[in-house]
Amino acid sequence: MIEVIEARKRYWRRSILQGASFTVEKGTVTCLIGLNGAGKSTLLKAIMGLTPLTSGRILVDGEPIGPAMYERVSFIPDHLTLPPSMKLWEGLRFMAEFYANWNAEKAAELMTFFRLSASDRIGNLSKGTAAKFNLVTGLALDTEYVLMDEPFSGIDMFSREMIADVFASDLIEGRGVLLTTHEIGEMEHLIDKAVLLSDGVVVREFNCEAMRVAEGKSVVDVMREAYRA
Amino acid sequence: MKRYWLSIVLALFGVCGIAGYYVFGASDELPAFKLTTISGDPKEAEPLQITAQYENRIKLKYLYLTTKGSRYQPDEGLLDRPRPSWMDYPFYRKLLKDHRGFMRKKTVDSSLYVDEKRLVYADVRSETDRADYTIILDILDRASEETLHKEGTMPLPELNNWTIVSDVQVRGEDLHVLVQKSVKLRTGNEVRYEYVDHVFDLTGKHKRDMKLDFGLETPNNSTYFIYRNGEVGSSEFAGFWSQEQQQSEADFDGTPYWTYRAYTYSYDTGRITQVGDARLEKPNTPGYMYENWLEAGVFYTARSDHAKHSLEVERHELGTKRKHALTIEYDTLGGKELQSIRITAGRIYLLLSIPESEEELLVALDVSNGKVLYKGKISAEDGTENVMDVNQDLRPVRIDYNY
Amino acid sequence: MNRYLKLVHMEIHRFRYILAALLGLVAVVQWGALVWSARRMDAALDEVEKFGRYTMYINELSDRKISYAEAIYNAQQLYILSVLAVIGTLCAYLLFVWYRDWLGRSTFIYRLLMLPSARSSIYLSKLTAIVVFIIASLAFQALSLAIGGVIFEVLIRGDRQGESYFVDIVNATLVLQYLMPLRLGDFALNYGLGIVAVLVVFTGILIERSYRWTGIAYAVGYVLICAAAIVIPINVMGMYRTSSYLYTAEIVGIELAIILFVAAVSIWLGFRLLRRKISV
Repeated sequence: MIEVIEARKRYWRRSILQGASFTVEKGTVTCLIGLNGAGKSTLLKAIMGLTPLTSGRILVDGEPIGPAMYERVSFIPDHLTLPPSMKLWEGLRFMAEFYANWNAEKAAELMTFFRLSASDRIGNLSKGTAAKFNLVTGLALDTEYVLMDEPFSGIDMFSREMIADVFASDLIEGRGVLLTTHEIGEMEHLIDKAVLLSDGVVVREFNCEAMRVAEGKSVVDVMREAYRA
Repeated sequence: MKRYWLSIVLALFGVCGIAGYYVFGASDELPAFKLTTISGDPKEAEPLQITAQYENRIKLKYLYLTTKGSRYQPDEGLLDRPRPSWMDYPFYRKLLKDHRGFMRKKTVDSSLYVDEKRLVYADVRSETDRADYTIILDILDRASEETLHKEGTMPLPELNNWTIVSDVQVRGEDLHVLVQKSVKLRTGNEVRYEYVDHVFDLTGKHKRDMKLDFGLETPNNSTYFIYRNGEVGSSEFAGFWSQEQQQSEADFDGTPYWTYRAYTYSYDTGRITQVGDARLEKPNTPGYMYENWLEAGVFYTARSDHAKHSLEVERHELGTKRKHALTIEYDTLGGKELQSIRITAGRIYLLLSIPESEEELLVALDVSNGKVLYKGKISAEDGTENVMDVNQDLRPVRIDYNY
Repeated sequence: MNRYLKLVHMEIHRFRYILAALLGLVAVVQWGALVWSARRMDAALDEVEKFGRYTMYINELSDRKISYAEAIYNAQQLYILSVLAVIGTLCAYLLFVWYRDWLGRSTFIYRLLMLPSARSSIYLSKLTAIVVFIIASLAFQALSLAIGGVIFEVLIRGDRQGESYFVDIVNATLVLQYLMPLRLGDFALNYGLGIVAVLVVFTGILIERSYRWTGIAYAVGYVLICAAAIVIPINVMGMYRTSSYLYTAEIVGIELAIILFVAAVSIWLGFRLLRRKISV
């Protein structure tokens, strides 16, 4: 379980996070929801140690974050993270060299699934193709948790469908997924848990299925309540 | 492993290339020179160091030559500090070893007095255009390691231009500090040197001053102090020489004659005595040389005669007032022109040129009788290509004695 | 260790074209300048032989010989320019080696920071790569001089060739004396200081990347303080004055301690920033 405890982050005078707390369980897909600038990306980066928190703690399976954690948590940001001069196969080789838990077969499957050509240059990929390659590098790591930042932003419809298929497949099964997205409507059927972020704190944290059954509300309904209030 | 060939090759290339540079560079150096004995006792040449300039097409470098071989002055690096040359000699190094604390900041050898009992360092602090200067005394008792520090300001009748300490001597209970003042003449930027002997007692208390008056015919002329080298112990006399242009006696071609005189000043009696006769010379002719040394109570004057290729050395024993003269002919020694001379430690050391082979001849003579004790030849090491050209590129500058 | 070496290789690999271009520039400019200069002197010698005097000003043709070192000496501006180009590029890359991972569509720094190895490897691998570039360039310069010697021998008639000592070749231009000083001790000192400078700059960059808006002020401040800490004591202790209270060995000892301290602080601070404060 990933635990975020009282996360605060301040840039100069602006407070982005003011004590956000939530958890991500293994085997569930958790969606971090919030308005633009609410701090969703910041939280993801903080969990990955890519930006420091002003105060608060983050624990992965009970332990604080550190370099060893990168074999257990994988992050797929909304842009590429490998040098543009590398070809796709060189990028995959880079991942294989540095990560012990790189699964080359999974990577090959994903490359085929997304119809990516290994000899293309990373810098030449279109936005949609780049997002797909990002997914390859993120998912082909045998990690317990996967974090995704806006996996659908700016992607064409057909690519989105392919990506959504991945969610349903066994590539995700058993892992704890934390993602942020604006396309709630499309993703709602895929996510198990929703965390609503407003003014730097978590205002609602709930299981989607349970919410629908108990109060008959969809995630979007809860969002309207929380953000309009 | 094969994948990383680029990095491995680059790293190895870098290391080997630089190693090769230094290994190869170390072996291909500028030509080495040696001092070989022609006749006489080789031990005579051991305390000597010849400074020479080696100049080829690209650069001029200084070379130091001893009986052990030659060494070039290396290019300056970050660790090289400017440093007076006397600090390289054993005399200084021993003082440094024995009295490391006292010798801090003491870098002018003419300000230092050394005898078995004590070390005295007299420094002068002067600013231009002030009507005074300050004498700073540091006295070390060598046995007890006690130091004394005293400062005293001396007023000046005129504005200061540049003041230095020429000599420091302890005579009995008196500490003499001989100060050279340079006084601006009314005409332009020329200066005249004046000397004052400030006398203190051994606790640094100022006793009296003696102004040295040499009685020059042309009062605007200077006398020049004759500096000593690495002496231990007290010396009664300070040596000076003067040169005055003679307006009346000019040659038919208009170049003037100069009158040269040598003097001693006695610290004990305060009297200035002329040494030897006044000489009428034409200094700017090729091959002319005139130099004085004062060492261990003997005053030496050496003059080379430009026409006759010979050297005249006069020896004045200041205590007994006896005078001896020697004439040395370069041809009999085997050389042509005089390059450098030093008289010290009872020897006359000469460097003469040998034009036929472009080599240099080093001769050591006994100063009392002119007997040749040693002859040596300076030339490029065996196996050097174009030996004559290389020898021609070497020009000796100075003979130094390792005090 | 393994991952560190792989990162070093990656950093070297990404720079390979620029390095090749720089070394190629050195070779082409220096050998070209040499050929031009040697030919000029050769022609001047022809004039001397034919007419007994020469019209172009070239040093010392009186003994009818020209040497390799002289040929370099007469073309040294081009040599100096080519060397400065390399130095300038490497200095610019001190900054770019870090900033290139942040700029553009693809931020490699994310990947580097998420590697399961210690983040200090990132710092050390970039440092090692820079060191490799420097020594490879120096070695290439030495090689280029050697090859130039061969070119000269082939180009000029044997009886016209004058003696060229290795020391002369190095002293023929203004730059090589400082770039490749003839005493190994000077080399170690100069380049040791250079590496400490790289450490300070790297840490300054990490400061800037950790503190964003005020980061640049802190970074510049840090670099200035380190520079002052090293340079000011040298003057205060009077290293280049004739007389000073401290002896040379004492000044050098103190200064060395300061330099090592600055290096240690830079490394420690750089590692710490990478571990805890760096922000993408």
